[in-house]
Amino acid sequence: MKKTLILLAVITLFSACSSDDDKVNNLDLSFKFNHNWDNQNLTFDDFGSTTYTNANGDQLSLDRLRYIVSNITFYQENGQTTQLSGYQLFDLSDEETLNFTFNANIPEGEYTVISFTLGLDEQYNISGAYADLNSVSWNWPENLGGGYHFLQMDGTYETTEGAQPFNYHMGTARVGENTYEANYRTVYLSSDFTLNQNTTFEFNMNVAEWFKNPHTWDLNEFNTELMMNYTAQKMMYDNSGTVFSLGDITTP
Amino acid sequence: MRLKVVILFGLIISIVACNSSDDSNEYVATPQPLEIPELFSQFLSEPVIPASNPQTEEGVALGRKLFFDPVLSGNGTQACADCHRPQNAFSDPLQFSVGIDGIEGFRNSMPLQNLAWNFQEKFNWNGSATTLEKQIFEPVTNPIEMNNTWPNVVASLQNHNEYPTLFNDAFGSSTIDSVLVTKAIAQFVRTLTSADSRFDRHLLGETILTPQELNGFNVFMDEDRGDCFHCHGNSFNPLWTDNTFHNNGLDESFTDLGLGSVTGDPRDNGKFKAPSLRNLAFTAPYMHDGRFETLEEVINHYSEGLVFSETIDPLMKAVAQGGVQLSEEDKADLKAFLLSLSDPEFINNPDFQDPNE
Repeated sequence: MKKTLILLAVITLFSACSSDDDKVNNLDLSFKFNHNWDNQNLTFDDFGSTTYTNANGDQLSLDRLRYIVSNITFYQENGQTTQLSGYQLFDLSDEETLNFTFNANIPEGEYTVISFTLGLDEQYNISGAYADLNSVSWNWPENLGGGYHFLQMDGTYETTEGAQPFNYHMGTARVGENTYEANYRTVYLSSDFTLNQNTTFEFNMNVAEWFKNPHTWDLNEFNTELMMNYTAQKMMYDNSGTVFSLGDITTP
Repeated sequence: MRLKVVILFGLIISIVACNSSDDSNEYVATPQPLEIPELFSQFLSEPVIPASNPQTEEGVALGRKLFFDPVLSGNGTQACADCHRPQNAFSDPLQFSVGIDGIEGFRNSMPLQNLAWNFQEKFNWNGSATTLEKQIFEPVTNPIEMNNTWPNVVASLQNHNEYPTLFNDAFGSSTIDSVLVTKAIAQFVRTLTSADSRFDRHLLGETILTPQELNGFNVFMDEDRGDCFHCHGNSFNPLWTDNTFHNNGLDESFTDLGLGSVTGDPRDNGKFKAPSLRNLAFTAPYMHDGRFETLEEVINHYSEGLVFSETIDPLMKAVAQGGVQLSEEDKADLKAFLLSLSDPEFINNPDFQDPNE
């Protein structure tokens, strides 16, 4: 993590050089990712205990939820953007991963949009490139295009034959022999906000949306072995569009 | 990689040099930085070495002597190395190891390899020890293992004709205590790195695997065949474990709660450490309770022997059919790949053998 922060600070330093009209400051920005199921708060305590009903009417419970976010970018009204390089791997079983602070060189002031990449874009999704991600086996198989997982959601759903596992894993989509689509998702969230020293951004993931919009996800059809399933990967991509929303933005 | 070690070494030397010119009386033995294998330095996070217990030549040598010395056990008959034998990748060939009083344990002896890269620092099948040093405290006093007391261990070592000098060389004090004993052994155990298997050499471009081994790796990496990689690493995680805990569908109910016995969380019942797949050629029998004598039995378990329980990892898919139903050919190829992760240089490394012989 420390390595990520250093990398981040260095890269933002370079990108900040392009701006000359705004005062660029070295700011600590905090981020917090919260999770819910259609507005019902969802934490690791719910794993293996709370049962949810998805849009298709299937009952499910979660055992594992990890995902990676990168390229957090801030947009000013005048078109100037500042991108924080680096990434954060969230693991709901480890509360500490859900809050993080970046030290960034970025103009203070008024902003209108914030975006981030769910997953890693082509520039960053390089097989084996990140020791901390390799060390937790976050890799995506080479024969599926390599790089890293973007999301791993494991759990069980109820069938007439009892609970069955599902592995909702998102990453590079394999179109065919040696043909792949990057499949990461850039999430844009609009809000007029002021960015200062110690501004805290809260984001919300509504886990139900992964099963809902626009594709009503049928776990009886798409449950396991989805990594190499192009249709499933594109459905995950489509459904990822409404998963995130902005929560409170606070500046002390 | 070698360069990195040298630079690190240089850095430490200069720090040490500063220390000694600094009027401080703190004793520092000869630094012996861990040699980090090329694949590990390329792909993995830094090894875990506590600031309170840096690797030193004298510390490692003392730890090695202690590891092989039965003086640690209650009746002087058993050393660490009796249940953690070099020839078995520091495991033993029994289902359950037998302590000094002839009492059998209830878990299989774990191999000791690459433990400096156990990043979460949860040791033992159930994660009960939170540092390597703390782990070493346990077997010495366990009544079904070495069945000794620490005061007795310390007295035996203190009255020994060599150990007080060796502790002085390693830690600057000839007054021995249990903390120093565990520190020395931990230093030795951290040197037990295995990274020279045929598969490692293949990754380094130094050898060519057989078509069978290569297909076996594809089975391992294929989500709709082996799907082993979610828990057991991949070419970019050459530890061949994710170092976490899973219920891999062995039993419908548990006599041994595993991780749950440590955390008290019923959601952890039946979860055990995913062991590294390195050196399987030397570490039979397999699983936390040593229930499988052969790799064929292990593969058959995942292929058609899975049973459901509340805490089974959802990655154990197709549990309703008993598993992923590998073809006989894929099973044989998977086994061939798994054996390519074995490292004879590791078990025969002269630095890892009994120094007391």
